[in-house]
Amino acid sequence: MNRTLWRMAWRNLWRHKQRTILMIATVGIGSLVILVLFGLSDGLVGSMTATQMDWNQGSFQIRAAGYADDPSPELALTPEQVEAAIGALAPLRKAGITPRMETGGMIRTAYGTDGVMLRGIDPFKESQVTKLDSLIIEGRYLDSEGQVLLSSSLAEDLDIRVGERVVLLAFAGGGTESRAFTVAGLYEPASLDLEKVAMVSIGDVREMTGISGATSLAVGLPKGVSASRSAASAERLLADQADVVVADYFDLNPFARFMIAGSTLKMIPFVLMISLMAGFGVANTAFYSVLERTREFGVMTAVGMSRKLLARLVLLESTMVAAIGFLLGGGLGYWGLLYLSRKGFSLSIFEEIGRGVGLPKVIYASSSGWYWVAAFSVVVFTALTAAWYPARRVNRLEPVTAIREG
Amino acid sequence: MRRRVIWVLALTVVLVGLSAVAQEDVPGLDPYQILDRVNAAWQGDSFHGIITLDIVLGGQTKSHKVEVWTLGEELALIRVLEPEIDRNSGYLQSGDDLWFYSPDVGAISLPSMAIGDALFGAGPSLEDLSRGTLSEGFDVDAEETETGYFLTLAPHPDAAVVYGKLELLVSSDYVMKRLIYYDQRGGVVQTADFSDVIDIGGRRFATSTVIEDSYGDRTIQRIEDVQFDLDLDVAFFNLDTFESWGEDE
Repeated sequence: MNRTLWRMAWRNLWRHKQRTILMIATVGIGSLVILVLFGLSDGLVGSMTATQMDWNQGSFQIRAAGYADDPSPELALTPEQVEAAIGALAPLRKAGITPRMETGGMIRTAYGTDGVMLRGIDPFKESQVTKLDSLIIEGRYLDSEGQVLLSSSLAEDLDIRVGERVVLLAFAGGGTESRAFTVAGLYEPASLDLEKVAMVSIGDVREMTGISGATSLAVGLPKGVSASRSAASAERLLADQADVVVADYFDLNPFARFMIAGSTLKMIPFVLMISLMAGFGVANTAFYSVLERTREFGVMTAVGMSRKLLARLVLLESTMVAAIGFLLGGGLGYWGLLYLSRKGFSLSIFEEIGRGVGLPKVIYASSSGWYWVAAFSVVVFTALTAAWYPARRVNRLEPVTAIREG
Repeated sequence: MRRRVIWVLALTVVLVGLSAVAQEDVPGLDPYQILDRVNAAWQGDSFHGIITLDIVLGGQTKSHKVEVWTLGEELALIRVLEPEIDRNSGYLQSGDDLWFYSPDVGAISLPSMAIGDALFGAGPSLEDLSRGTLSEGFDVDAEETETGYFLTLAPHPDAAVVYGKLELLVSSDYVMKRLIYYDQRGGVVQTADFSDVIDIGGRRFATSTVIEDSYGDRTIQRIEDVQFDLDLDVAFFNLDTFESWGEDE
């Protein structure tokens, strides 16, 4: 194609500015939506995984069989099981392993009462598995029994401050036990389900529930070590221990399993739908533009311009529209993803749902390069769809008929 | 509403107890003895009363009327009379167990914490007062005033109490006039003022109470048809009692 054809196509586009801008916007928005959809979707899964592993659950956990169905302290690992499991996992490469004792409960302050999960931790070992100690934004980390760490949001709701006394009530064995605790510090909850977790010494929860042992052993891994492979290795190492099971990330987060399973395949219908919408939007406008210029095309062929060249002209116009739309929409979308990958996107509007499924408070978008490929597919599809039929019509034009009909 | 009704249950029993104390000789000015008298008030008597509640929340007033029976330390029953839509629903306490009954959905067991939560949120609970453990969790200081006693209760550091301190204004004949709850920063969380004291069956009894919290929300309570030492059967304190009311109407 020569330069004249490019210039003609470019000039033709801007003969009807509004129409051309509309077509560019259609392709641009399609590209932008696909990029953002993929980036946020992958970002949500990635942020959720990192948040849960680094700040809450550890890479995987060891629990008693049946605990998942009925998470009560009565179904905790016995002290013997805890000791045996820690011994069995000694050969496993890990950053740390820590016992936890969890039970449902309530917190009372002078200004209110709320339901909480009491998580009894070993403060020293916990910091080897999760980064809880680095989440402290006021006060200090646990250093003795009788202290509690609360999330900053819960402290705000109940109007309680560091150094003040709260009453925690633990449910266990069909009864309850209340005890006073001093707020040692406040932590920034990385995920929504951490907002209502009161962290206390494991000894306190054991005393309140009257149950020793641990409801779970949380295992943390060094950077770069695969959590799924380590969990599989742990299963082999614990194979001869009765009633002890390994709960991997998906066992601990069933919602994540639903989200990740076939996520790429699930996206295809969305991509196709957006492509179709953009494609037919452009095709419709391009076709109308060709119809409008039938007489003009008839004259051009009558004075010697080949129909093949005219078809190329129409094809080039659609391609230009698609390319500009892709660059603008894709560029804007990718910039948005880069921004969200650094600044994050708050999920506080999904607070109630998120608390139940372990969503992070903030998700960081993924900006993987292959999203460009997905967005580019919209452009290719759009350009081909938009160009094919109008170009075919131009290719079949009879000059005399076209001049008469136009 | 639920929490306030439970609170009324607790408060009623406190009042009954306080009125009983008033009949005895005044001990010397030992703060623990004064407090023990308050605690001792919980022992024994049965009670019946119809309580009208005007609850002012966020500037809006809702009125409720409930009928209350108590027997000893362990048994209490509340029947809602008004509003009409909640009629014959209510609460049953038996020891540490607490139920809510609704004619539409039947009985629902409430966590026992609700009993502990009953009196002024997280202050001395029904259990503390009924079992005389209040003085165990607090250091008590008393001053004699022109009209009676002024008691300051400071919770022990390890006591399961979330308040910074409590102040009680008690008349010389041991009728509580005012109860003030402070947070741990010295701010007033809630106050209860008792008035309209009547003599009934040799007891002095406050029939009106105004409870006001730091947000300005208030509950005004008036007790009518007060009866003490009724011949109540333990079998009356049963969920079947609620059902029988429904059948009667």
